Amino acid sequence: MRRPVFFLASIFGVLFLQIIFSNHFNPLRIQPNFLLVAVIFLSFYADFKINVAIAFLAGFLKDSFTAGIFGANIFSFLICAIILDQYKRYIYREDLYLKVILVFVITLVNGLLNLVIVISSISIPFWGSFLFIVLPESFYTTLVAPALFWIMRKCALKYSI
Amino acid sequence: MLRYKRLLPYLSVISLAIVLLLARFPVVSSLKKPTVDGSKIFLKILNYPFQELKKILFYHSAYNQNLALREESAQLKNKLVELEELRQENDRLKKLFNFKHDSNFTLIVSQVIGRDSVNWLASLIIDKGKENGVQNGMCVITDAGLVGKIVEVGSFYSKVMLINDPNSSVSSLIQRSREQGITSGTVTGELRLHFLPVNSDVKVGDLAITSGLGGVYPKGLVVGKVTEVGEEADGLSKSCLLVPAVKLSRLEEVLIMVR
Repeated sequence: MRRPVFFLASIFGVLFLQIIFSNHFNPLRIQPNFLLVAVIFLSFYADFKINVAIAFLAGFLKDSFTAGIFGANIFSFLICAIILDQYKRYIYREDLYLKVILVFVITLVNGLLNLVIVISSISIPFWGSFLFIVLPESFYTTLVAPALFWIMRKCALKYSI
Repeated sequence: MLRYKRLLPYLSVISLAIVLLLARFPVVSSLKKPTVDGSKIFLKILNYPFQELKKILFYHSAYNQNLALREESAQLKNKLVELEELRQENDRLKKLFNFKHDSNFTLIVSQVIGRDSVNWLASLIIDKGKENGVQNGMCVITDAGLVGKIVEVGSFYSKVMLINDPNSSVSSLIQRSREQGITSGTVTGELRLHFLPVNSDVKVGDLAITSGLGGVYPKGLVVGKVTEVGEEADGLSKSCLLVPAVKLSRLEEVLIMVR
């Protein structure tokens, strides 16, 4: 019972962090994808089915707080959950460097998937959006990921997850 | 066969993701509004310490601004008397010419409680919704100018699409020369006034205001100031870069125009 409560509390906690962060600290209009970092972290503590549920919830919550296409984040988060399931077996849970590289790759994939969906409905330039939004978002997310991993790991240890 | 069996869960998730994206089931999307409504109270509580901290941090600049504003206020009061005289004269003349007057707006003050969680869209979440009389399409402003319009209304929250969102388009005109065009946002958060005639009279420093065409935004709201003038890629029209009149990244309170 402790595990699902921890997963839910983490996702909602990170969601509020995401909203508050974007409301008060948004240099250059770019915000890190905290929810994706949480999904990556939690994927090391659960099996595929649970990871899909977590990714669905995170995507749904992200979609709820945007004026964009509903379902775009659910889609990209679910695809990322599949990629994570394929690659997490090659990464040691406590290896921060590999996990940070994984965050960069997954954020990039997530950003590209979202960009493709957005481009199908609005006419925005692909390369401009990739260079000025997707890439900076991936770097920014990679930068904040160690801090969030550290906090979440502390919580996970405290509640013996 | 075994390989296909192993791929089955992945294929099911991919299918689910595609179906959810394309079908847009009302059952799933209807959960969106209660989720944001339910989160509003937490967001307000979590925003509170940051807002208080900002008040303390910016006390010095606020004090200086207060002194400058008092001076400006005294000058404006004199101007207001003058303008009131002109307004009354204008009303009298309009009645004489049988014009219809369409400025019966009331304003609802609303607090910004969140921003769009996606980087290439520009929208705000505000703390007033259907219960406060807010409806889709209503215009949102500040004392400095146009902010955007309401695109989603929950019971106790609304989402505002900012004018620098790539989906936004505002029928605008250059105040000085009355040249008309369409102002739209970009993914990098800039504002661009498109479709100006190729020989139009536009200069850096000109003010762009809403033209009132389309009926969404009332006429005369300040959109932004021209910072760069250029030609469109096709060479058939001019476009210019605007700096928004409102600091869209630092909004804390906005006004909703209710008819």
